[in-house]
Amino acid sequence: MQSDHARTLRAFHRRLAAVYLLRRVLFALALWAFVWGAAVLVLRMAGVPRGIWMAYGAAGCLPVMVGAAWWEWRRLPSFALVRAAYDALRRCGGILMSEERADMRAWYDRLPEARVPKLRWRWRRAAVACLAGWVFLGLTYWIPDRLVRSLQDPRLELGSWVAELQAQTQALAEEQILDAEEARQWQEELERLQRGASGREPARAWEALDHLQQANRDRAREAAEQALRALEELRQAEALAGAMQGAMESGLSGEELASAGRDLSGLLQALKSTLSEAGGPLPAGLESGGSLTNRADLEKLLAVLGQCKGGLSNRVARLCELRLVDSRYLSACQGLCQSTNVAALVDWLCRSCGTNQGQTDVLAEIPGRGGVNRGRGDAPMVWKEATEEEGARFQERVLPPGAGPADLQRVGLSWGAPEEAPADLPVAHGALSGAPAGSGVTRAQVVLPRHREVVQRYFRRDVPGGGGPGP
Amino acid sequence: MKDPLLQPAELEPAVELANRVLAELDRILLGRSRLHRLVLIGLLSRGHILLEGVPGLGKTALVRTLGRVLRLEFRRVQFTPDLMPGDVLGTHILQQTDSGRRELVFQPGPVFTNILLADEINRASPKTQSALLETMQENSVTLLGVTRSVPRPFFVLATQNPIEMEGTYPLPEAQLDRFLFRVFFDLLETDVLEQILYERRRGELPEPSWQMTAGELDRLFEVMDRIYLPRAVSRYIARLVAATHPGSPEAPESVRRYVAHGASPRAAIAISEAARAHALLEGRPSVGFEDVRAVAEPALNHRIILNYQARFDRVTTSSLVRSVLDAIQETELQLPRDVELARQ
Repeated sequence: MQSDHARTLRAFHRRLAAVYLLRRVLFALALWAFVWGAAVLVLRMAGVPRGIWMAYGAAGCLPVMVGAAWWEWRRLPSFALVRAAYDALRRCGGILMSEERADMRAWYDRLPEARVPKLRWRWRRAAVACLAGWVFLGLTYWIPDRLVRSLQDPRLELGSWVAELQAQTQALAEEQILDAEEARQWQEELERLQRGASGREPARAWEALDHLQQANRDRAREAAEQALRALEELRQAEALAGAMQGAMESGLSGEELASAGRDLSGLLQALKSTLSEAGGPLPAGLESGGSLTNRADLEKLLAVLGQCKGGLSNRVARLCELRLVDSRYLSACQGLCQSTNVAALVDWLCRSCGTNQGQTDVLAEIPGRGGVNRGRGDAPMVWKEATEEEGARFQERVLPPGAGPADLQRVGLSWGAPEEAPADLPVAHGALSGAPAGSGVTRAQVVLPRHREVVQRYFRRDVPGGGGPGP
Repeated sequence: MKDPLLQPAELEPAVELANRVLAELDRILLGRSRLHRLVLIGLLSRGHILLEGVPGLGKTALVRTLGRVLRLEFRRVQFTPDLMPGDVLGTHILQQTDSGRRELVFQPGPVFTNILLADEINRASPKTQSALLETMQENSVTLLGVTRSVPRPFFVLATQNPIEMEGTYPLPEAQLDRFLFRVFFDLLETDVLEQILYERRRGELPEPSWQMTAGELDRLFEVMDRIYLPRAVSRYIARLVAATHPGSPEAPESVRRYVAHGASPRAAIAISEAARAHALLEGRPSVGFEDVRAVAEPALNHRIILNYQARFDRVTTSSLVRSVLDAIQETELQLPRDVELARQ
């Protein structure tokens, strides 16, 4: 076909193919920009820092364009189809289509004027899609990190709480209040909580932390109460041993103190486990359950008891310092660690040995701190080791840093500050329409049209016998 | 089709001949140019035509004039309810020969002619109507086991009166499908009617000034056979006919709603033949899409069977065919939604 129509037809085919390819490439670029932009946004939200990988998007444009053009090229309409369309558009009466069968050059002078059909492509849609995609991609590139972080899943910062709980758990393990295996499990649970804590659901993390802290406190309280009981018994034993030592210095023989020695031996047997945990080894005589009659054993026993009391009081002090137990436990512990009125007890031992006076009567004569079993009520109070207030000062202690603005966590979002309604705001409550707010109606009452007459008659108070809620 | 395509020198005499026939028809019968064109297309396509119109519009005059211009034998049969098949096809008559022997001799009926005008065909009984079936399709008549061919060419031009339906027998679908076209006779325009009254005494038709000679019609048929139907146009015709079926994926909404049965494959063949004839009259050696669009309506409007909903909504087959033509694109060039071709 060497004619104007042949050239025009080829030009029309080329133009059609160009429009198809360009259109497909534009849409493919738009799609690529959206997809890559979304990937960039996801990666940045996932915490991947800016880097060379962001340039892969621009590098991927060329393969995308080539791929889209190749895919569209395979789907381009055939030349026969384009020729048929040209024949129909130019009203060639099938002569051009007959080229598929024979040479029709003899008929070309009968054809209308050769002209490339106008191809209208509303390119704005594709261009806008492409532009929107690249604008989106640019936004994902240049969006500030601060804004990206705000889009991320807000992490719940539990560092100080977790550190405190870890310290508490470690202290409980060191004090042998917690088993080593149990302490390890609690530490792992704390680490898992710290990793998985999300700001979108802070209540879950806080509930778990509260549970662990409560468990720690329960264990610590039990341990503190046990220590106080042990201290009470230690104090009695120490007092009795001190009294026996004083009585020996007053000249009483070991045979005369045999009764007190047996009592002391009984006390120490009950405290054997406590002493072995917190203190040192008992004297040899006590190990076999024998009685203490010589001075050296008593001194050694007093040293062991003091060491044991110190250990228990240190334990309670540490628990209190870690805020696992109240300070009253520490106060009670300090009270139990104070020395007993040993002189009175020595006096009692000296007087009771060799006499038949009842123990209760003797005890009642011992001046002490009052009470039924500690001397008469009018017995003078004896104070020893009083605290010197002069020069005393509070112990300096560095408090942990409090929560600053940076540590604040957003737990919710409201669209605006709540508005306070004026007091005289009328509310519409159906039959009570116009009544002031706070009239006792909790929900809107809808009066249907068929009930309106009855309701109005009910509330018409000026009509005699009209009923109504009031007189 | 192995013959070479027509060259301009081969086509031009045939086009001139056909146009001369049309000009003669237009000169004798005033105001019916489109109708004459369709009838000539039907004849060139070797098809039969069903003319539909009220009495007095010139149906018989058209057929008579056509026969005279084409120099073809013409016969007219007025179909009535008591018309028997033998009255149309012919019958055997007992006759005595010269030797004194008696034998049944076939007396040909009026169907043995070139142009048969079956006037008011729907007034005859179905038995008589069906007697024409074989003749229209096979161009032959079989009686008592003997098949006799009708003269070539053979055309049936049947008429129907659409306003007197009492005592009529509507043509069955099988017989309707054998007509190439159904053409409606419209009323004449006032100017044409005035011209007839002024120029023609008692409406008498003038004598033809020109008549086709023997063999010229055969030459027209030979040229017709060499008109080329491109593959894309064949595809278009096939898609058009398929779209008249409500189950077709390309069928427009009107077809899905109103059509009970679409056109048959014979309709596609009829369209392609008629489009060839139209291309010949246009002086082209090949069929274009516009040829198909020009003949699609008369070729399809009697082959589409409408449902009752169409009757309720007063939808006609012609409007449905137009909707199909509007819905089906000429080529299957699927342009994207944002790309369009401007018609020039």
